[in-house]
Amino acid sequence: MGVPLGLGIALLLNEEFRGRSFARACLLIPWSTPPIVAALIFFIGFNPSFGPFTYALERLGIFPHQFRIFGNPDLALFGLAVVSLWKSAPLFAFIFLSALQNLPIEAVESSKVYGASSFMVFRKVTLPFLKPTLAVNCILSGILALSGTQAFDIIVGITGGGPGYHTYMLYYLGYMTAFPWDNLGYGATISYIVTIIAVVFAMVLLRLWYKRV
Amino acid sequence: MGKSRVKRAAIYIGAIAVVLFTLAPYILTIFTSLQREVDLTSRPPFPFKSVTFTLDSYTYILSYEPFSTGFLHSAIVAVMTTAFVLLAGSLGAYAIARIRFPGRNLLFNIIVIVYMLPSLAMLIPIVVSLKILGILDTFIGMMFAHSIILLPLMTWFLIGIFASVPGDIDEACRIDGYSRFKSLFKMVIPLTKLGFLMILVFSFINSWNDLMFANTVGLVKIKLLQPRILEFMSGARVLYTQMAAAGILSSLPVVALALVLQKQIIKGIMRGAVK
Repeated sequence: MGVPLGLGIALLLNEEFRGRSFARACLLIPWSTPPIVAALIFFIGFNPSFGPFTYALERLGIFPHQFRIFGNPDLALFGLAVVSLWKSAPLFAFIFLSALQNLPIEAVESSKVYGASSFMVFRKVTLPFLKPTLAVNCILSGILALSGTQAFDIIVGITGGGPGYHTYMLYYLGYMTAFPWDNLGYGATISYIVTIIAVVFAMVLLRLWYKRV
Repeated sequence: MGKSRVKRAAIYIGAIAVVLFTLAPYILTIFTSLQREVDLTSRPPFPFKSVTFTLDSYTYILSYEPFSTGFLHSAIVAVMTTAFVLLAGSLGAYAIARIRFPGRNLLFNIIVIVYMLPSLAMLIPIVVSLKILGILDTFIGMMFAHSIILLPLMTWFLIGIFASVPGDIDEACRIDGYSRFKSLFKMVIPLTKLGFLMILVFSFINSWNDLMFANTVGLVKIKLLQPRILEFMSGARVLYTQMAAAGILSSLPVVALALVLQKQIIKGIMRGAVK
């Protein structure tokens, strides 16, 4: 989810317009905010009775009255994803932006001369050019979700694994087992499972990395 | 011409959406922290009604002892970690980027693989080994824990940054009688100031923002800031305005750092310091 959004933001901020550097600077705020504070921000924002976001969405008719997004077994994970989106989309946007800097302008210009629409240019020129970056970003977001401490911080802060065990992700489970529940051996086992999955991701990423350079 | 006008409008609307998306949550939290608990907890919420603003929650937080200790400890650890990462990282990266020695590629691959390891996998070994060394719950131990996580990535970045400096420059320095250290610190680092600054900011922000290690490596003596925020959120009675004030204050150093150095950071990212 963070990847397409990051791409959209990057394409937009790659255009020339007044206030572009301000918009780019704004991206630094979610990027530098501590994950636990990001959790806190949305914990207040989505508070069922007085959170401004909940209220606004209620008014728009999207949420039922005093809706508890983090207390709902089916939607809690989705709510957490929104928080993590806010925190991580800027990073992806920056990675795409730095790739877009190297976009060959001649290719774009010449296809425009031949009468290609902007959408065609995007699909036939920009997207193939960005493909390696896209792949790297996808893997990176996989790693972030799986093994980044960011997802962990957000879960600890907002739901603590609840309601019930609905937001116990592998990573969080490993931590909980090892530390508060004092079962170091079992926790270590879980962490090895996470490691194996992460190593698979890492090998794919390394392959892509060497292909790109 | 008409079409480009439509396009301009679309760009501005998009830009405003991006700015709202990134700023609104943060600004709402600032407003939350400025309200009184009574106003905050009654419906409808702030932007939809007028409220009186006060600085009460800030005065409370600033005089709240665990918070100020946490702030101080976090600052000490973040500065120590940044210094250590910069020193060790630049020495290691210089060696890999410049000196040919057997096992250089292997070493590089190991660095990348270690970076990919989930920090959970590192957490248990780190805690156990710090305990054996007897530096669990000390500043040094916390610095090592943060550095172990940060060093591989930062060294990786630094290798790329140093490799962008032509090798001839080192050669020239060496001929002029500089030692390796001298040519690293006198020539290569000043030439790559921008990238170096990026690494500094990255290390500081990551060390400051860490929660998991702060919670497990620091127990009694070392109390970092982020776990205090967690305590605010999971307490029996949640004081929302004070919690918001604590959150804003604890993110202030890193957000301010990012905004003050925004030009350099964005330029650095654009140059591909972060790939």
